[in-house]
Amino acid sequence: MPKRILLIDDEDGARRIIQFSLEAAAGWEVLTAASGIEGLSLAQAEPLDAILLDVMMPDLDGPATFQRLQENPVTRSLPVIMLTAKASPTEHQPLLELGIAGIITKPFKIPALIAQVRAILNWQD
Amino acid sequence: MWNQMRWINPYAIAVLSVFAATVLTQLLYPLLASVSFTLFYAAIAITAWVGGAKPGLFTVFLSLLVSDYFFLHPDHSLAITGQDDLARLSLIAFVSLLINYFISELRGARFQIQQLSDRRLQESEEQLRLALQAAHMGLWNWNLVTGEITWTPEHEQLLGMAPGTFDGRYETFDARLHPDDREGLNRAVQIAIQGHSIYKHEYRIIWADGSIHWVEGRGQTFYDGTGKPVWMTGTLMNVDDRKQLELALKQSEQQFRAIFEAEPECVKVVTADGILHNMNPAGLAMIEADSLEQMQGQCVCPLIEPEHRRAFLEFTQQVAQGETGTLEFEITGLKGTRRWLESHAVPLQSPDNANLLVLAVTRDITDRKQAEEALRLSEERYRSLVEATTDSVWLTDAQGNVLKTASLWTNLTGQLLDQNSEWDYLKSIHPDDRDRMIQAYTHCLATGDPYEIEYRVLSQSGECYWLAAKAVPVYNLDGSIREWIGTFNNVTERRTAETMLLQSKLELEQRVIERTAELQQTNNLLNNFFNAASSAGIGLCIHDQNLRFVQINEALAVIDGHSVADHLGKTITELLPELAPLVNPLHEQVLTTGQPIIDLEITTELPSQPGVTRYWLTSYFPILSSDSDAQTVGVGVIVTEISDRKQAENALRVSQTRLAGILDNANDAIISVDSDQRITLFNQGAEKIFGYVAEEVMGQPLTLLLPTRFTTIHPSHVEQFRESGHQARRMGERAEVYGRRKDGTEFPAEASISKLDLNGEQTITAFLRDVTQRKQSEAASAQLANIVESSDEAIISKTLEGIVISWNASAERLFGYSAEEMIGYPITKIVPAERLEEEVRILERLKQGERINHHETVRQRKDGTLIEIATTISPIRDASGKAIGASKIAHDITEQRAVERMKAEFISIVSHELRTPLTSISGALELLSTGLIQPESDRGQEAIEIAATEADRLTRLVNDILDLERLESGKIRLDRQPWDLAQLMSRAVDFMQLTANQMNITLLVEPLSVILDIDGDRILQVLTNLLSNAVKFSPNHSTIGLTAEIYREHHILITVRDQGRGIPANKLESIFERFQQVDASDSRKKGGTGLGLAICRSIVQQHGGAIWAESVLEQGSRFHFTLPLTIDA
Repeated sequence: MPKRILLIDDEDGARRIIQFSLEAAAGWEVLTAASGIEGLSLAQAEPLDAILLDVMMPDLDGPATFQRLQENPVTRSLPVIMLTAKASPTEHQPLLELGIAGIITKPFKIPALIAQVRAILNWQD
Repeated sequence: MWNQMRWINPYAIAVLSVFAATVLTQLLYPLLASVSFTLFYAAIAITAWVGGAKPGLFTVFLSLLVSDYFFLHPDHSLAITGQDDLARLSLIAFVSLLINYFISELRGARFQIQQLSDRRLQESEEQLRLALQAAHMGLWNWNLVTGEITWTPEHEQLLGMAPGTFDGRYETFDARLHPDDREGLNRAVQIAIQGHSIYKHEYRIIWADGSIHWVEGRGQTFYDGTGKPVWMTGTLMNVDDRKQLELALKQSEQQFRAIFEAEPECVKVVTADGILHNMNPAGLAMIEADSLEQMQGQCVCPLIEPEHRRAFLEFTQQVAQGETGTLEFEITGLKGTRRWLESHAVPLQSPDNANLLVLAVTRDITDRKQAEEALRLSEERYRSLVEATTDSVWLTDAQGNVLKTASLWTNLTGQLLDQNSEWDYLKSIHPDDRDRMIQAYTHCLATGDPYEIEYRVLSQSGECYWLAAKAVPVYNLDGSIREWIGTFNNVTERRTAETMLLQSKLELEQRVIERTAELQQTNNLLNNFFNAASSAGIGLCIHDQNLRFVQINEALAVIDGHSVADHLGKTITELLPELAPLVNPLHEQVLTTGQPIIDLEITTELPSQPGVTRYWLTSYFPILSSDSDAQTVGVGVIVTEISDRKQAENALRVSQTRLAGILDNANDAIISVDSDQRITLFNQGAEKIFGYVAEEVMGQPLTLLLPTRFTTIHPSHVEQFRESGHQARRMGERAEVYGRRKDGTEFPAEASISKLDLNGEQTITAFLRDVTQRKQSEAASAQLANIVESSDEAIISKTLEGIVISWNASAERLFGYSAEEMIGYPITKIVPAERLEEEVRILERLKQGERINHHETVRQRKDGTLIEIATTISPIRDASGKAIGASKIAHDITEQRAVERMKAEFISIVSHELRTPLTSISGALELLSTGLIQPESDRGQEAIEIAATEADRLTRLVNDILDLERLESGKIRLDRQPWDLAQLMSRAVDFMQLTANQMNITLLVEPLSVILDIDGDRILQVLTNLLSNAVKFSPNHSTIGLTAEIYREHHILITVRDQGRGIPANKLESIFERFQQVDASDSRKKGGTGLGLAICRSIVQQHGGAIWAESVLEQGSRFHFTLPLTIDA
């Protein structure tokens, strides 16, 4: 069974490209959501192995979405990796303190992205 | 000659010489005994010398042929017939070959010598050239006839020219000359040529690169037979280094000279013998010399006062031997002014190193010396004043030992007091009075009470005098008694009179008592006497043994406040109970001892007038019975009022004490004027303050001491005071008082004034204090306080215990506490609880004397809010350098921190905005390039499209960021031109028309034709941006309006209206900030960068206009901006 991943990102271009990359290079099945709200309902409804969550989004941003995921018993145990375009460690620290599995900084190389996801989630090839 | 022959072919010489030899031999043949070949040898020798061995051999061969042909048998044939001819020919050949050989060797040797010599010449020329090169020395030759000049390459380099580029023309050289040196060089050359002298001149060269170089040219002129100069040759050398050294030396010399010249003290250099080498202008002024030459080389000793010369010379010699020292001495200047000088001298190495010189810095201390002298004079004057005041003044030390004897004492007693003998004067005091005197003076010495006593003294001849002695203590500054100053009065006459009176009364009384019974009429006489005494103001009364009044006269009765009749038969206790404790014991004493009590001064309230204190001189004497046993039966009392005398004495004592105090306190000026306002008193304090000596001003008008602007008004003030009812007044309460010194300078003063009538003459006395220094320090202190108070920084001082001492206005503003609320309270009032520890540490560091620089911390304002501050705290030190407190300067950095946070946030947003499109672009390209997706596939096409869109977005973003940065940093200047606004409005609408059409949006424009001085492209950018925003956020089939109108007279208001979804009220302002879109994600989808409105605002503001938005949610928005109708250039 290929891994099922939910990608939540409001940036249309980035969302599509990350989806293509993960599907083509890692062979995972990628579900996408263009907002936190949409992502929450997908996470509730679909069986998932992990969630990739963009930090900067309008209305419900990454940390708020994560908070909701944590509050929901169905989604609480899902590992969440945040995607952020902010590169500074001081900006990463508060996010890591939320209890997420890891952070990946944009932009990235596709193999590095996949390797990082695997490493964070301790997945074997 | 041989040299010239070298040019002729040697073989031709061979032929010619052989030919000549043949002809000559033929001609001379008849003269010769046999055939001689000498001439042929000569020919061979010539040819070999000129042409060398080969032509020589050729000549030998020719000579042999010719000889054989012409001179050997057979003639004219080459055949040899005879044996001896063969032998001759062989001999000739041999000799010829020898000659040829030696001559050609000789020639070769000569040639080698020549070559060697040529090479040596060449070598030495090369060496010379290298030497010149090494010395940076150029050589030059100047043909004065043709004007042609040749230079060595070094010479060319010295003129900054590449070797070989000099064209030999004087003009080329001239062009390189420094314009200022051209004339001097020409003159030097002319002088050298005309004077047949060596030319030598330094001048400057300007190289092609503009640098200036100093060179030194030297040269010599050569002349032809007629003495006409034909040739000049010489060297050129770079002297830049030397010139720089010279310049540096000159500057250094000038600097030292300037210091020497400007030094305000006298600086001089003298030899050990006092010969003046040098002296600066300040020094020349001091000795009153007009110029240095006047004294240079001469001994300064004649200027020095004779009594100081020896000391001066010894001092100078000591210093010249290497010691340093200081000497004070007096001089008389060349123009006669005497000065006291103080010289600090050090040894100085003389330029020739031979002898040590003396360098002395000398200061004029005349003022100080004069002050010392004045002080000494003052002391002396004070003493003489005291001496002159009265011949009855005496002084003792605090222990009562005599310091100065009153001449009255010596005159009366004839005793010369021995100052070393304790209380020596006791010897002359009447033995009966000694104990009383000792007791009284011991008491005064111990308590400091004024001393007052009358006692008898004995002359050496046994005469007795009464002296009234009075003394008051003179105090040291520390309050201890320094000495006693006292006076004597000879009161013998009064005493004698009193005693005589007493005795007569005594006798009379006794007689009366004895004969009361039998001499009734005598009683009347006594009554009469009593009455007579009464009319003379003398109170008399008689008490019996029981102290009852037996008799009393009217005068005493009046004093007692009762009638004579009331007294009789009553005791003192009954009649005058308040007086009884004082006088009853005296009565008892007289009754008991039978001894009189004479002249007892008593002080009581007047029984008849309670509250009025009077002084009395009372005597109590026994009244003896008429019996022969002489028993005391009563007490007679004589009472004389001495209040007036007492008061006068008291007044005198007070006045004397006061005068002594004034004299002691010589720091204040005390000046008295008479009714004509002429000065009658001018104390030493006044001399010190005004610079006059008393003799100069006594009798002068007071206006002498006033600044000229007060000379009219001040005397009238004095007159007003004189006529006023006031006895004294402080001056300067309403206006400053100023004095004028002898030197014309003014000073502020504090003054008080009083008036005194003495023998009908009114004297006004002023007390002045020079308050210049106080005023200056007050002003300085006020200025400092002003600086502190007006500083923008909070300035606080506190003790090392943290108690606030000062708190300026900025501190009040910063922390919200007023000075009253903080001064005297702990600084911890403004320290938040969690930082109290920090304040303790700060105080610890301050106690160590440490300074705390730019400490950033948090403090609490009065209203509880926390503020971030930066503070610098320095210890305040006392004179010994010990830290005794701290001053703290603080300012609010809350805003600075907020700006820093905003900046960090902005950088973070920009970074995010740039990274987001990059993620998509790099991802898409990677997918395509690695073949993870195929370009032809749907996903491939989509990826390409995403990459293009995102690249587009990135480009716009970067452009906008750069645009905004340039606008805000002022790197873009507006290109202002007259533009018709209507035209710009139409163009903006044209730009947007296509997009609007796609969405079925109607663009309504109402162009306003007005010429504005604006940057058309930029305003078009604003219009386009606003229209583009409107289109983006408008629903299909809606209308967008663009209008312009005159606004508030001097402006044009341009408005873009849409019917879009509107902007929330709380975002209406922030949308003009960078990256503050209402909805970032939505806006990005529509191609926004988040910077458009920020750019618009920047452009409008740079035009002097304003931009704002109004909106109603779900109904639409209006964006307005204004432009000035006339914009100042």
